[in-house]
Amino acid sequence: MHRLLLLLTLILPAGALAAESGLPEPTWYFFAAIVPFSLLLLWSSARIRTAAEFYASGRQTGGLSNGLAITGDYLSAASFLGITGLILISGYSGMLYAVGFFAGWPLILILLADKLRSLGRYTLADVVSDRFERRPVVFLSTVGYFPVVVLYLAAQLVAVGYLSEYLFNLPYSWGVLTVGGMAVLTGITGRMIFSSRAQMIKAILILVSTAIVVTLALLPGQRLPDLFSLAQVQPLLPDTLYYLPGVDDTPLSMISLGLALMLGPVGLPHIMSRFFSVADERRARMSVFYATGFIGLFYILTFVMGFAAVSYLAGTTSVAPADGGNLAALHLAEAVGGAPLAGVLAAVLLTVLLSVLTSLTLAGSSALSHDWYVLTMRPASSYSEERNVHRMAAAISGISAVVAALLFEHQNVAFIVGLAFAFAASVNVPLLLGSLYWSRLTTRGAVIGGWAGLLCVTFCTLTGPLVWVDILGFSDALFPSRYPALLSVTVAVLGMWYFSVSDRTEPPAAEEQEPRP
Amino acid sequence: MSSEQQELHLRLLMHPGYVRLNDRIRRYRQRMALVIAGSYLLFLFCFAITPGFLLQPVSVGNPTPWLVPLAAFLIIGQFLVTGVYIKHVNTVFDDELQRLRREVGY
Repeated sequence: MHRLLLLLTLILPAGALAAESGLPEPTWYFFAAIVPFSLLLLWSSARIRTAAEFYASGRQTGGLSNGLAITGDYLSAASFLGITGLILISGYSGMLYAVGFFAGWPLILILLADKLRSLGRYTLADVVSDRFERRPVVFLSTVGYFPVVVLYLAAQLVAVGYLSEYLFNLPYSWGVLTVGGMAVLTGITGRMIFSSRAQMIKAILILVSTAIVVTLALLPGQRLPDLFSLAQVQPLLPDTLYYLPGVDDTPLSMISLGLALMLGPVGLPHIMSRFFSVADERRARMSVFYATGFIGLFYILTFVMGFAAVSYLAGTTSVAPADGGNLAALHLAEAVGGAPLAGVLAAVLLTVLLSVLTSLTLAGSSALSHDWYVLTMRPASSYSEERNVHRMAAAISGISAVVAALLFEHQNVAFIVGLAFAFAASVNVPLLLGSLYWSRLTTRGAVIGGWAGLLCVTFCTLTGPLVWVDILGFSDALFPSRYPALLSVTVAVLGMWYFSVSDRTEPPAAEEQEPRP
Repeated sequence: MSSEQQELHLRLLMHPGYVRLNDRIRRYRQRMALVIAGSYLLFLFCFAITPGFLLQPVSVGNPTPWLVPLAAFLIIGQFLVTGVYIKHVNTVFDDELQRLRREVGY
């Protein structure tokens, strides 16, 4: 991935120069920053090659530094860009994203981390294949995981597209295609594991740059109360509190969105991998405590940054709702710190975006190749067979993400992440929580409920305003809301409940192993 | 696991104190999850259903709407609850588990 970064610094400007459009000023600072960042990351990852080394490095790090590394795993540039932009274009309703993205995190710790650790199961497929008939349930969880990965990747790619537009004057599609293609290639060829040190560096980079932007924005006598005041924010928002461009604003929609934001992260247990790598349980928990602090601080800073963006950018030409507000953070950095700050911030963001892109392409394709193919289709498959499936999966998910990113050009990136979370909340979260906490859940209930949730969320998304109106161009959406989670989660949970209690077969025994002796 | 370890493991699993501890941990975990999810859902319902309430200024001289400090308090509060949970698990439950382990002869 870090080689990819260096390569990218050569290719993208070459394209820009070829277009003879010249480069904006921040771009030179971007180059000055991206080279040391990539070298730093290259150096910090040099020693990690295998999973064994990954776990070994986890054992050596202390609570605080491991906490920082976990923070690096969790924070994404998409929420940084997306939340700031949403507050700029939609006012207070953008705050729901900051609060919602955070609320999922302690729930993962409390509901999943300790429990999975004591069971010795670290992925969703491991958990469900213990309790249920393996084939149908793992198939369901893999199919349910696929749109989550694709949408999450697409959100990163949308951000990359905007960054390349901002930095190199390249068309949006250019950046998406180049970087998306490279992420696919890395996913196909690479087996990459991020060292704790690399993630720590990323966490520090993104936290420090957020703090600098916020501090500089507040320095010139900006009074905090005025920053958040209605008088400042309201004029931007024609009628209501929930002004989202072309979007419904009913209470049910907001509840639906909020539900997806909180539940979504719970469906992604792999973000806890670094928690499992620490041998000493007490220290592992302490590191999560530190991580919670850093992540909370980050989300508080992002929403302050959003209001600062309102104060500095409202009424200027850089506010264009058509770009989903995705560049608000960079325009704000340029307004308060000039071209140097914007360039360096862009370098930080691109570094983080690329790392999420490559690690997620890999995580997604290994879920497909290992969990589904090896566990259910061909248990006796050889390593090279598994590798081929892995490559194919990386290609399919990467290409789908590129297509999705091209279609979602005008959407806000935090919104796309929220949509990914709606898919996770409708399939894998009920499956995971049901199999851990409800002893009467049966294979039949899990499969029927899970598929019902998946079909419901897919149908509502396709016929909702996002796809039906924005992409396909019809005038009226069949499903009225952009946020399908409330309906689809209810369908999944009711389906799981009804088809389990009406199931005559004996429910499989829940594992009782806790606390680990 | 050697057979000796397995026997210790089984003895621990059947220890009545262990069963009680297991129950206590489960209840504690559910309670804490409820506090986190509940406080967020309360905020969410308020946000969705009665936004006007959250948009009232904090005080006469301070035009910040209640929404902003509440959101910040929610994040900080959930961080603190996480801290309380971790502290409790790391001290009370872990010590109890160690005691039970010693009792069955680990």
